[in-house]
Amino acid sequence: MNLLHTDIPYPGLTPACREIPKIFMEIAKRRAALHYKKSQHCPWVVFLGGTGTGKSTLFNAFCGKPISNTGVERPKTTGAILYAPTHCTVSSGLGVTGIKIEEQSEGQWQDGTATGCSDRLLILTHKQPEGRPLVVVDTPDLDSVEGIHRKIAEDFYLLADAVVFVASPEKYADETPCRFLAKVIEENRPLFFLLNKVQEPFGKAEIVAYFDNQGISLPQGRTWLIPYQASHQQAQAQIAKQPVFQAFVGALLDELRSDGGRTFRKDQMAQRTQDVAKRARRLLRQLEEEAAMSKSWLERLSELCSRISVGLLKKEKHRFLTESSGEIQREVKTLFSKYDVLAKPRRFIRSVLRTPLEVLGVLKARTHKGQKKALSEVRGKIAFTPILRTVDHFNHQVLALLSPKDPSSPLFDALRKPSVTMTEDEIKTMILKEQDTLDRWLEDRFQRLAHDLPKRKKWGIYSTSILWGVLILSFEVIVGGGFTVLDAALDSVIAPFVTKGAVGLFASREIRKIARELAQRYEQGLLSVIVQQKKRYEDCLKALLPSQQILDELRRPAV
Amino acid sequence: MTRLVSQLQTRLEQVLRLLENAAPPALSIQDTTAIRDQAIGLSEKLARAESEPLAIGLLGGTGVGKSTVMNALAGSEISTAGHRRPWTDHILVYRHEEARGLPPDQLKGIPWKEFTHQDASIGKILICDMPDFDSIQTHHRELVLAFVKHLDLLVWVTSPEKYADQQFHDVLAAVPKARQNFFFVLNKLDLMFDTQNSEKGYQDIEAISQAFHKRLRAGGISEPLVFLVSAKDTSETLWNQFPMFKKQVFQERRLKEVMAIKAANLDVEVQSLIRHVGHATTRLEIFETLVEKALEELGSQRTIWFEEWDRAVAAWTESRVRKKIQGQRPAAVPLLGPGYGLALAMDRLGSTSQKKEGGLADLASLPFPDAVHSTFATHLHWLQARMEQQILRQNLPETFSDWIKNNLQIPTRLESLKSALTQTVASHLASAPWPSFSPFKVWQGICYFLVLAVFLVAIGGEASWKDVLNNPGIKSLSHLILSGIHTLFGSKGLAALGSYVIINIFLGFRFYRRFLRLTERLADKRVEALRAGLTSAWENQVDAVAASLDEMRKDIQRQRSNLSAITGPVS
Repeated sequence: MNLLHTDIPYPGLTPACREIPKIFMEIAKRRAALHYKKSQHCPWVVFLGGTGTGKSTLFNAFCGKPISNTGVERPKTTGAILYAPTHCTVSSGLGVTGIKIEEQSEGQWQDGTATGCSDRLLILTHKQPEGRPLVVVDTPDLDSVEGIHRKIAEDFYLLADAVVFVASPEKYADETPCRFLAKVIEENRPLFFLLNKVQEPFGKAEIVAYFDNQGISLPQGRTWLIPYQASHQQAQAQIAKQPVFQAFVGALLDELRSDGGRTFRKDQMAQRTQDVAKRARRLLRQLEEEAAMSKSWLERLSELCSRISVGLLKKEKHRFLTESSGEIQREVKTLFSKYDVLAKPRRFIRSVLRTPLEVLGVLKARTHKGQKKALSEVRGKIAFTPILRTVDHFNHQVLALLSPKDPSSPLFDALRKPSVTMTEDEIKTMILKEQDTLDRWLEDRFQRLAHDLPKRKKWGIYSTSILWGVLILSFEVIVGGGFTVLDAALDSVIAPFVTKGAVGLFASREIRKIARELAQRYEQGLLSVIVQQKKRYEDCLKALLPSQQILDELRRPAV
Repeated sequence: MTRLVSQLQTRLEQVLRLLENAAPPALSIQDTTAIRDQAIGLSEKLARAESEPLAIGLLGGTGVGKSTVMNALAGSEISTAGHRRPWTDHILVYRHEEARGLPPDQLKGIPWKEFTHQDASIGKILICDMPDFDSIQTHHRELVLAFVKHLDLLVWVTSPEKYADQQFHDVLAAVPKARQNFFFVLNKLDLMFDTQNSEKGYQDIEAISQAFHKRLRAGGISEPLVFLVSAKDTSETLWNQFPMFKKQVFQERRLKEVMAIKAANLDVEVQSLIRHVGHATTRLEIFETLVEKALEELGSQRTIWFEEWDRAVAAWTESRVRKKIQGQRPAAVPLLGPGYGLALAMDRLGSTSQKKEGGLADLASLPFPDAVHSTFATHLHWLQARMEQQILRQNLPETFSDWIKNNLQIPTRLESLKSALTQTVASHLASAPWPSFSPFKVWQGICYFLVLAVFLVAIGGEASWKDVLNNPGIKSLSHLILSGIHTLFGSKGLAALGSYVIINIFLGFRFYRRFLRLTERLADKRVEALRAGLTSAWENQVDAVAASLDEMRKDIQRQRSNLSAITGPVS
């Protein structure tokens, strides 16, 4: 997996989160460089410095021929130029680093100097047998007004085994190159510091002291002052002749050649690996912090969600149950009345008793609703508005309490995307679906009851009726001293109500059961919308968490 | 030119007036203060412009030879040049000994030194040599950017080595001054001639000049005034434009020209200030759509709100009010005979429970149940939350939330709704005149009379009645009475009496029921009237909310037009 072509998502919940993409990019580049370096055996020497310090002139002097164009226009070098022996096979595997290349062999570029191209690396190869097995790179300016030049220079620094940092008396105190120099020293990359164009009255000690004052300690014995060359044309040749320059070249080659270059290379690789690992650890630490914050964010979201759900339930469930229980009760009782054997005579008796009172206007006539009507009433009890409001409230609370305050945080934008909040239509469709499920369940429940009661219940009703009947009879016989005609007349009136009581006893159990289950289902239905909305917010955050693949890749040792 | 000055003055006055009259919530308090301070500072500067000398600043990176240029301009070693970088960390001010310097109160915390001269020809200018802005001493850059507001003409000094530096062009872009007041000095060109032949030197200078021009143009300075100089050796040569540069700097400027330079700079600053104010316009636009949406929502939700309100009111009236109104009886129950007795009995039966609940008068003084107006509060809170959510979504400053809160004023509205409702209840329930029941009473009388008549006819007997009708007189009348009494104590009489009593009881029940129905119907009417009254009170409040939102929208539009008067072109 090449991290160079991957973006790292992050929610942005920690204060230092903005560093994450930068660190990640840096790691990706350094890993790619490490990967490439592993396959290379020729060391790279990279010339870096500010505009007009004379990098290209020194580069040419180092290479021994005018390769990179020099001049007074700024910036002069627009892309990196690489000079290497053919046997170094520089271009193989360079694709890993994402650098585009243009390769020319000695015959092709012999007649003229190059300025480079900002979108690709110009590789010039030579076959000189006496040539050193070195890859030498000239880079654009570190402090160029062109951003792309700065980027190229920084990218090639990553591939350098040794850095030749070029400064001038005019520029050595400039902020941008200085900061870069400090970075090179901090990372312990082999560094050769050249102060070019030096005229009187500069001394080496003075420069070293100056940098020490700035907290930048120049490498011991690797600082050279190259005298000013008035003529541009002959600068390269004259510099090459300078003893100080030759001393620099000698020191550089010594460094790279020590132990046949093997230990040097080993050290370099170990350092790079360590560096990448250190950066990866730092990034992982930050990502862990983000992950921890994300976890607590999710917890807070759940908390908010349940708080809001409780509020909705408290209001709605009570209302729903008080409004719908009447219907259910009536419905279940009607269904049970089938097993009330004496229902008909009871009704007759009741109507006999009621009629005169109704005629006198003391009692009101009764009405009764059908099953369909009862069901439709239950259906109408689920109201949209409270749910819509609750979702609104939820959204508001999420933005007010859970959104990061910093608008540049990715989560800030993610939470505000219009697609995250459920639209009114979506909510309504969902509620209707839930209602349908609820209706179907209720209808099914009633239908099962209507079809047949379980045997146990049926016989329970019958046996309870008979038991009560027998009890009453025996009471009358014992207390009244026998069963008279009057008793019989009285019992015939009481009996139907006894069966009703038995049926009611069983029905009320059934009602309680249905009501309990209905309440549960209704609760689920009510909350399904909130849960769905919560899930969307969770998805928002989860989409911003780096994939396991990236994390694994970061944890894996680079080589 | 004075026109530009007066235009600037108007602009600044407009800005200040805008901030004074009503600080738009679109600007945060910090913003408002910052803008006000800036505007005051600018207008003071504008007022001082005529009396103050022209300040010329030398700006450049470290090592480009600013101090050398300064010395060459002054004609003496006032500023020491050196190879140490960065060299100067002080601002050097070079002025005529009798000229006014920079106002000291504005130089607090800025390290500066002053040199005076007696050259009367340049008595009206100040030359300021600034520290570098590109060295590792980053506080120098901040110093330069802070001081730059005191400068009128800016001389940007650079060198062949540094003219393409990022820092140079970054600082150049960041300085809020009129681009026509910039000069550019490419110093150290003598290096091009040091040892190489002069032809190559000229070529190099040409190349540098072109590259520099190109770079400046890319940075948005269309016609840069560039001087190619060597400050080290100021003797006039074919290429060294130092004398020209010096002349340009030291030229006698008429007041009008000085004012033009200053006004152009101030114009740039005022423009940037106005751009800042302009952000407020964008925010107000967003806010206006938001308020419009809220108004729309209020319109579309109103029916739902109403239904809920109506349900709550109905629940209250049905559970409490109707019963109480129905329980009301006129002082004189309009029932006669058996009906009256029945009513008396029924009332006595029910009186215990009635007493407990209290009378109608209690109801009028009763605090209105929370369930009723809480729906109103819930809706308003929802509306407010909805707008606040949008504010959060659009990332508008919190001041907008406060604006909404102040506009909706939910607690106040709730209170006024409460009092309106209480008043309505009081007016509907306190004085409730009963209609006249006389037709009902007459009808009862007739009925009872007829029954009595039939009863009397029945017990009197046919013969006796005929006798009375044919020969009315005491004799026949007493005959009838005797016959009646006689019959009454017979089986026929008892049957008639029984029938009479039953019919009377029946009638009593019917009339009592009729009476109940009548009071019920009256109660219905009164409940209806009460509900209508309550509803209209509610409607009034909702209308008021809509009106105040609309007022807010108009307010936004007013503020927007105020702002656009500032940000738009001056008429």
